[in-house]
Amino acid sequence: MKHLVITLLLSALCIQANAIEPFELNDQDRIILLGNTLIERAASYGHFETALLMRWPDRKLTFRNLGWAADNVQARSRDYFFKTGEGYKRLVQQVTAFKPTVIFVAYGTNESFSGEDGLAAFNANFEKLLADLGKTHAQLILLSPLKQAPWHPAATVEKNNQNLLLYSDAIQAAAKKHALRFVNLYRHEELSQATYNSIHLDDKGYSVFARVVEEELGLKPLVHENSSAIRQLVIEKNRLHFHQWRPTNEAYLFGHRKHEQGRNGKEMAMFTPLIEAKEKEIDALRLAASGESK
Amino acid sequence: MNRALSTLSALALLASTAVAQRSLKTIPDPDVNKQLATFTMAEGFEISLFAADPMFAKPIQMNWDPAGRLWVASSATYPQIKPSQVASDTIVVLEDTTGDGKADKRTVFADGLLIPTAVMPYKNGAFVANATDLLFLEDTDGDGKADKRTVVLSGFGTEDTHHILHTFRWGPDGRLYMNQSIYIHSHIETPYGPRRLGAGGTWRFDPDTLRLEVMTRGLINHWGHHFDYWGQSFATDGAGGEGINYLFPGSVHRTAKSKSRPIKGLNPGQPKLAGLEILSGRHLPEEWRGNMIAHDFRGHRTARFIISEDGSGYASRRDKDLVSTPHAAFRPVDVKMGPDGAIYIADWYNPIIQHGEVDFRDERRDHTHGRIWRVTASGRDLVKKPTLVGAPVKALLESLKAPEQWTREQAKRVLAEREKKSVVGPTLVWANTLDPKAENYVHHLLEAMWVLQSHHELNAGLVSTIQDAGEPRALAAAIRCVKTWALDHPAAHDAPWIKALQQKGITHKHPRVRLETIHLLHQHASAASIKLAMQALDQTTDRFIDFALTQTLQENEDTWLEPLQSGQLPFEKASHLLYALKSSGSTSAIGSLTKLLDAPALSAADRQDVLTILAESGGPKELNVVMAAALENDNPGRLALLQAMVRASQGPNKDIGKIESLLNDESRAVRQATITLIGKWKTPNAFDTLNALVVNEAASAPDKLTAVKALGALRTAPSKKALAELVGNANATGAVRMAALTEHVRATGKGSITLLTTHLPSLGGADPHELMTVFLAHREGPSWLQAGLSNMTLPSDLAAASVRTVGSSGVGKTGALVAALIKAGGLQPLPAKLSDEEMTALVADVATKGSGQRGESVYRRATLACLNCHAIGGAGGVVGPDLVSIGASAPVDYLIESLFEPSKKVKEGYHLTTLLLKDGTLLTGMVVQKTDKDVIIRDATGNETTVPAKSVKSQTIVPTSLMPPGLTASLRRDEMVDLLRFLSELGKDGDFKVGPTRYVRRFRTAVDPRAAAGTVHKHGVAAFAQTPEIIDWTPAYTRVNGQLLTSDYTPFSSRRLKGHVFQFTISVTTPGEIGMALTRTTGIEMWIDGISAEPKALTVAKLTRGEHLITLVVAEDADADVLSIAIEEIPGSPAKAQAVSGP
Repeated sequence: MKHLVITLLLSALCIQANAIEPFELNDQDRIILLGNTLIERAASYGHFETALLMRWPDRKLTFRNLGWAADNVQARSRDYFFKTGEGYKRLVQQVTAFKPTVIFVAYGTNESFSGEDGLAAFNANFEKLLADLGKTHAQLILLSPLKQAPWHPAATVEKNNQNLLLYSDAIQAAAKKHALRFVNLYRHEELSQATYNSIHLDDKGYSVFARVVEEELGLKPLVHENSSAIRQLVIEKNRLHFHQWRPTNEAYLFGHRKHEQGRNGKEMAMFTPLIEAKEKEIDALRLAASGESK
Repeated sequence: MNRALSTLSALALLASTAVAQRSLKTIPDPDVNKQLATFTMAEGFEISLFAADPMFAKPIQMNWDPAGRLWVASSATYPQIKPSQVASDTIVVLEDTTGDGKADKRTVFADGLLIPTAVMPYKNGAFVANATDLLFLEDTDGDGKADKRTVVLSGFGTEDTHHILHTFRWGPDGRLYMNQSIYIHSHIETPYGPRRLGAGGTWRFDPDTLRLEVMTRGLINHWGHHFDYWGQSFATDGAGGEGINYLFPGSVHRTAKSKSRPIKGLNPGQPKLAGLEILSGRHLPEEWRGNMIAHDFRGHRTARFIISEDGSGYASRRDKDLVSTPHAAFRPVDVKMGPDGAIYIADWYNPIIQHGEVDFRDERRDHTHGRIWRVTASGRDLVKKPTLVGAPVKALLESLKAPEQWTREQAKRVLAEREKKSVVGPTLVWANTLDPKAENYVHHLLEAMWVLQSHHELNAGLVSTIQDAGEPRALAAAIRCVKTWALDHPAAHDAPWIKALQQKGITHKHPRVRLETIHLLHQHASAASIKLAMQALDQTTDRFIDFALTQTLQENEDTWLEPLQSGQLPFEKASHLLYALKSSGSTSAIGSLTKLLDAPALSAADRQDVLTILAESGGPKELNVVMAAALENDNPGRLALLQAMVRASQGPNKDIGKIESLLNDESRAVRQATITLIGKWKTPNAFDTLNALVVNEAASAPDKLTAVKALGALRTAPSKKALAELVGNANATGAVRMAALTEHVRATGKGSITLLTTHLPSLGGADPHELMTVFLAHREGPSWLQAGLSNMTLPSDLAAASVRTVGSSGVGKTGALVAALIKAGGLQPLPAKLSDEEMTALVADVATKGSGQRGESVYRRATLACLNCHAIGGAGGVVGPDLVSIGASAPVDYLIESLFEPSKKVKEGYHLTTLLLKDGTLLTGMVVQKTDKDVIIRDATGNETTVPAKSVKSQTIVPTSLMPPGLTASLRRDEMVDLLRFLSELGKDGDFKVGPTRYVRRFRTAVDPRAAAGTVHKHGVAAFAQTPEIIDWTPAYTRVNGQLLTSDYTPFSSRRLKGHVFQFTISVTTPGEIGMALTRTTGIEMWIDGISAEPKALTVAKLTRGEHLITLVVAEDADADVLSIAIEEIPGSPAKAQAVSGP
């Protein structure tokens, strides 16, 4: 209930929110969450995914989290052993293979440490990413970085935030240019306050994140009384998916040590039915839960 | 790539997967008492069980908390989670509540973890390495179990689960140090920006501010790290084989990308090690304190190393083992001293080491056992377990005086976790009231400084007191503290007292203080700080100072190169500038160098350096100067200058013909460099000179071969014609004809095929390696050769050798060429399949019929060439891994597969890389070093080629071994059985274990005594010692037991000398008296650096820093054909030396 009060208060403050046409997910939508640590860790808490699943409980929705810690728009974190650019190719290929209809894109945090000097390169690389993602014909939704909360003086938070704002504005400009939805996380002080290390969210922080994103998408927050069991299943589904797409021993399974252990790469495919079974469970439960709350 | 693989599979024997299970029957009984009975202990020590399964399984890392409880990270999931499996690994806490030396209480602190590879107690919980995450697991309600989980850092790579985040250690500075191994790529967001590390390395993490930095890069699997009494870092490497490594901020070690040569370990040629503990405390006998112990987990033992000061760094020598056992499942992986002063050893307990080449799902992978052993000194009192938790600050500060590192470390932890204001003031008061006359006073000051540092405080007064106290090791630590502090307070670098400290530090008489000062100056590099750092050159330097200075210069080139280009001298002395230019390799300042040559004060050594740089980087104008210098009479640096000009991309443009006057020089190396230059520069008489040389009866074989190459370099119509004639010249040797054919192909490509088809069949006995390499380097090369081979019949040895080169080249699409070679040579492909029964029989015969002694002789056979690539204990080639403990780590079936099908088992760090150059050339080999400027690649013959980075178009890792398949096809079955037996004994207790005695293992001997006999006749035997450059030498290695068998080598049998000549090199890092223990002294003449010395059972020589050449002329004696020499320390002498190993 406390949450609800805060939420109402916030939506009253954000006059703009009412002006936005509410976002909607349709039956059979396939949604990718793409980005850096913010996205990667969202998988372990499941709030955002659960909120959208519960909002449209009778629509078939499939989520895949493709976040990677400290990633940037060039997919630097996905390069593994290979030269710069290989990770990017893989990102585009993985996204395309999933046949997404909606992609949430959250970048800019790591790039912002290059400051003004790096802005031109960021814009160019971001344009390229948007163009490549656009080829899937999915709806793209661009998220800004979070504002950094106060921290140890050596972390130069004030300077970092000037840069984060700079990159947030650049993402907003890109959204405007391509007529895409933009989710401004930077301006939400409550998100920054929900960090535990000045930059990352924990369980509670991600529930705030879910609410803020929905609100930025023009959606009135709903309260789901029976969502915790579903969220648990979402987390389990995400864990299975993580083991599949980011397996340990990548070097052996698919990399240059494949000749040693590549035969075990076949195990990765065995995760698919396990993931699908979890999704069935989730779907059954959300239908039941929505029935109860009605 | 796939094609290359399938080719090899077709050629080589295929071992079925069932083979992997074959050694199951050798699995020992897991009974604890049976295992206990197998241990051999160092004299004065005993061992008992502290804890065992089922209390926990598979311990990976263990660490104590201040309350004296042992936290153990253990994983049954390793190496790979199964699709239906839920991650369920644990952190277990063990306690000995009764003080009887056995754990009687066990609590599962956390479960549901995925391959936790490290644990470190912290506050009310512990940091845990959990695959991609560093977690902080907390017990908030005090029930002993974790109930809160925080992701502290995430984004650690998991590409290889035996490489993932591991080896947690608290530094004395209150920071958490963590290691990752070679194949890991980590990308981590921190409040200070993203941090990335795509290699092995050591992370330094501040749990309060969350600042994460890379401290060192490189090493392969450094599963041991610890800080000594003075706060310096040491590491062991589970795949490195160089014993103890000295780490410092910014240090780069083997396998990491580096601008300069990475820093080597302190014990080259030693077994690979896991875990590292530095012994201290009253329980242990005095002579063990300060020693380091680490586990040779392949050889089932815990090794002891004695560390001593050596310049800015350290020297280390191995001593007798603390623990050893033939028990195949004893796999010690971690070692920590405990609160009672005893030594605790985590035994991962496994019959196989479960490296990646063994199937993830292999049944032999033990997932249930594990032990922690406790080693105590017999008859000595244990230390009373200190009470630290809850103790008053003052008592904790007093604990910092304890002789036990355990107590000091844990007291610092308790103080670090107390409230800042309750600690900082009392610590300063404590430090200021210490008695300056008390024993270890300076160290107590240092401890106080570390306590402050853990609370992010630095006290200038304390640093100044330490500076005045006259203990350089404490001052070095204080400078490190200042560096860490200044990282968070950048303005501090310019504070007057820190500037004064830098000034004093860089001119300090102790090299480690100078080294630490360079680190500090590097952190905040400016024109002024680099100029200051260079003052370190005014005193003795060593490899560590050299590395740090070079790195500082390279990473901050703009601060000194730009002023230089605008005409200013950015350093105080010409020698500083020269050093800077040498380390940078930059060519943009060549102009200023030529001027330097005229400086009157230039020393001979500096002049040589200037000329070398001019040779390598200059244009024709500069090379004219260098050539003139090389032609000066009696220039001792002539050879180096000639060789530099061989490496240079340009040549002189004035009087180049003059170089021919060196053609008759006495030195073989000078002659050959001259011949090469004649071809390279195309001197006016080049063709006539070279053409005469290749058919000159009197010329030596190596000179002729060099001349053939030089002739090829001319690339003129007459030179090509001359080469073609030489190929068909029946009077020329096979080697010369083969070389001529090779150069003809190099010069004309496809146009040589007719020549080849005519003459190759008559070149049996010659080595076709280079010829094959020339074909392989061209995209179309393999298909030209293949077409030429149709309808040709080749001698079988030639065809087999060609197949070896092509098969191990890593070049793709060579399947058809290999098939054509096999057909042309009428070769029998290797047996397609060894049946399970045959394999079982082979494994059984190795155990029952094989002889290690006979097998060693097979191993040493020149025709097999094993030693050319694989050293044992540092003696031998470096193309493949050192096999020092292969027998102790690899089951026999693994060895068989490795011999028959090398590409199936490629050791990490030995994968092949193919470089495609922009000009279309393909180069394949092992990347030895990679920098922004160039890549150094080593081929199967051990040759290193340097390729400019900008000429590389693409680079691919290929899963092929440099070891040619079918090497052993020429062996009889009984010989194969012996060879396998020998390999399987390597590193096990017995005759084939490299022990602590520091034998000289690598010698060289005259390659052709008959050819050298003339030299002896002319100059006497002293010529070997005094002018070694005029002799052709070849390596000679001892057997594993350190014995050189003189009868293995052809003796001289001239009038003046009947017997052998051997030479070896000793590298001295701290000068003084060095002992050489000789097992034989009669009939031996000895020279040290060309000066005659009397050989004694213990020959003592006073040696300066640097390398020294020892020559032995050994008279033939049928009754004494065994000689061994060991390097010994002389009591009272500070000298540090080791025999130079390698190829």
